[in-house]
Amino acid sequence: MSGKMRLFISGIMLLALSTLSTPALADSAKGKALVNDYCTACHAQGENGKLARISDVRKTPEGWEMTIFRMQHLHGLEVDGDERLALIKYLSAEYGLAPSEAAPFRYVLEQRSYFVDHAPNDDLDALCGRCHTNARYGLQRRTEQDWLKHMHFHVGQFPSLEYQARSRDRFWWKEVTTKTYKELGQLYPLQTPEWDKWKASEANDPTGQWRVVGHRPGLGGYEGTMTISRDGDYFKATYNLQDLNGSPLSGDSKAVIYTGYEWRGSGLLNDTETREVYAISEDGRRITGRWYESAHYDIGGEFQAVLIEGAEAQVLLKSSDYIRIGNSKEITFHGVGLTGKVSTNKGLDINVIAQNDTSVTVKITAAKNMSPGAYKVTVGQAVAEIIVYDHINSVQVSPAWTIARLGGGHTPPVTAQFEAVAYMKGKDGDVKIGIMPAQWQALAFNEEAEHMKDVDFAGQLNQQGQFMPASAGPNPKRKYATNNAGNLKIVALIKEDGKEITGKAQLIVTVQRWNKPPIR
Amino acid sequence: MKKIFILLTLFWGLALSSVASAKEYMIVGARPNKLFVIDIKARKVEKTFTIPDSTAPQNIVMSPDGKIAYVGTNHLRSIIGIDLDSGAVVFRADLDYKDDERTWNYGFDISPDGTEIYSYDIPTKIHLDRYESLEPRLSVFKTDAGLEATPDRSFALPRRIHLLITAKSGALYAMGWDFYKIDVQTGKYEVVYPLRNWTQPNLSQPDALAFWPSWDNNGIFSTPISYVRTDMAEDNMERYRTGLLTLDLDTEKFDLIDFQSAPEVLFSSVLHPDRKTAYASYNTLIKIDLENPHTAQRIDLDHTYYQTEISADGKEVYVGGTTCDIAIYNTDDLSRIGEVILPGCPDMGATVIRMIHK
Repeated sequence: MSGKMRLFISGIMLLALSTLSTPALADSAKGKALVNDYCTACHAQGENGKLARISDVRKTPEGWEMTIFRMQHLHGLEVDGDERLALIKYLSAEYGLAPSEAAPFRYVLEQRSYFVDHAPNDDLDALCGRCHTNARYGLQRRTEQDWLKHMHFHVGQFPSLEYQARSRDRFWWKEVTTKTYKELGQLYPLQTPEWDKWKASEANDPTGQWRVVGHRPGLGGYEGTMTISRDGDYFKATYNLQDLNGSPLSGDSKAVIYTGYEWRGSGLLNDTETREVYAISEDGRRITGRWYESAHYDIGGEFQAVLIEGAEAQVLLKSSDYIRIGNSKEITFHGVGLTGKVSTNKGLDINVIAQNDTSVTVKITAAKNMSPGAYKVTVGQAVAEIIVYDHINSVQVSPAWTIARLGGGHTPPVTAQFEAVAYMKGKDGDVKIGIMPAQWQALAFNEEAEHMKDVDFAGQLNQQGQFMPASAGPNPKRKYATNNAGNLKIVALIKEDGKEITGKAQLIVTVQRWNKPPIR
Repeated sequence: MKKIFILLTLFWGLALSSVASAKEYMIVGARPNKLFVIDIKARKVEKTFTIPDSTAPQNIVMSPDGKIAYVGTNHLRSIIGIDLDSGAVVFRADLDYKDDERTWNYGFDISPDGTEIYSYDIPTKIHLDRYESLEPRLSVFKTDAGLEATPDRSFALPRRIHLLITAKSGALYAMGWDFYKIDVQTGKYEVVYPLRNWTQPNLSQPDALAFWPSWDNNGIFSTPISYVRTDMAEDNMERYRTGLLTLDLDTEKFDLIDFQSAPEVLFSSVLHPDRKTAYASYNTLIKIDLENPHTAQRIDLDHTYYQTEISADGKEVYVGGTTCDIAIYNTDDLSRIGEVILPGCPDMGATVIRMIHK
């Protein structure tokens, strides 16, 4: 290190020390000191100040949390909760992911129980994705050489992986140590312009009033406001929300913002303990993500918030997406800046019933002579779309394919929530109308499921489309004394003018998952 | 030396003559640290040993005289020899004998004279800030090496081997991507039966992951093996095939017997001592006619079992592993004729079954 560089760094350190009252910088100094205290014994510091391994990787906060967990459990690291938090904050800030890098894989951070996990190619899906989500490695950045060390780590920690199905039919080790590590180094390199830009950018201040909307699968939408304020090293969010029937959904949470945008909160909503995994947009004006019950990661809600101050007029949520020709109904538009004039395409009749800055309730009438299709409703500069339909042509169940997990002991069941989405005929195939209430039924998916009586054993589907799996463990009442796993056809039935339209999905009810890392 | 030779001859003579009149025992392990000696014809657990410092017994290898059970345990990291008369630990190899290495064992067997244990080891070197996966190796332990045994010699072997089998001649066979024959003195090996690289006409690469020793009462290794008939239409379910791969431990000849499509999962198989039939199990127990290869009979089991074994007289087929019971079936008609429930119902997991005569 040159003398000039040393002086420069000393200058920065002085600056940091003199501004210790700023929590972020205080944390950073604490985190850096902890890394020096705890990590450098094994992770040598090079002349350039880089730490062996640590400076060669970038990860999400959850990724660093898992690393520290492994260091604690396998390599003798001893840190308390505060120290661990400071370490994760520091490492996520220094060696994190840019928002655009984490964006494709947020489903796994958000602890969703169903998602579509795409691999960059079939080889990576077999080599890596057969055990992990493909998001798990997609949420890491490493130097090429560190990806190679990562391969050694895998066999060093889990030698049986070479024997597993989708591994033993190929020369796994030869592939990953001659080809795959280079491929990962190309796909997910340590150095990227996105990260350089994000790391150099100013942190956004999220404090203020936010307009919130969301959707709870099976229960419907909710809306309201959130106030974010500082709370020492944390942020506090106070929620004043209600569902679309007007029932309150209120509470607050305490959150840490990692890497300048990764909001991780824990709090209470209607006295139920919750976790929040949100991302603050790069411009700091929008927060999106998912919250879930801390005891049931499968149960929660989609979340979207817009900073009210300076927001453009926009509709964020509608109490209904559709109206049938010849009918009238009240629809409320929720959003921000909704004080403008309400107008619509020709043919749709709209009367404003109530209007304020954050919502407009209108009575909409779709005349009998209207053509089905999408109709625009504008509220000043805000635009929304209402589907006018004549007949339901088809019903799709969403998700079309998912799993649920049996519950028991210390591992609660993982439910599956289905929704019935109606479609009408369009010129180029069916056009989505929206989610509709349906009658629900679980049937055997195939002959084998029929033979094994899966419907009788796997669990119960309620009339809100929620499947509650049965208990885990061998069941002496079943053939082979097998557990209550099952392969089910989930059927949604919607009646229209006496006609029955059905849609179906497949549900695999499977066994418990014992290891529950933050990134699966 | 001559005296020793005579003594040994006498001993072997005694040992051999005692087999004919000896009683048949089944040896099984269970989590976390149990080893059972079962008088199988009496359906009775005769002895229960506690293996010191053990987690989950898996492989078991018997000394040729049936006196010592070498048990692989501690998550594939230790081989412990237990004297079945006294329960004393007479041998112990903890594979992490080097400070900077961590080593797993993925198969071991014993020399026909009982003096050497051959272990397939996968070592990892532990650096300060990284792991380095090393080349797998054959470690040869002397059985008289005591309680801190380290290898007498070791040789590099291919990756992904999962089963070692010693033939009667003393030749060591290893099953992995291919079947290898290994010279235990020089470490030289050759492919003697290609699997991943096999050249069977119109058959896909086969899949087999065999852990189960099934040659105690018949002198022949066998395992179910799966492959696809590439010359058959893709919508024809008959193209998915199940065969039995066998290695005769006397003649050292391999054979592949295609006997059915793939209607079920089969984990293990065993040949009848007369070698006219074989048995295989998992959720079902099947009887395979080897003279006119086909599945002659199939029954549903009351739960999943991993290993299939047979009595020396060929009258009883045993299934075990997974929970705490050994189920016993008549080899003629697969009727249920008994069971042994291990005391305290411990979890056998993936422990193997061995058959001995004492």
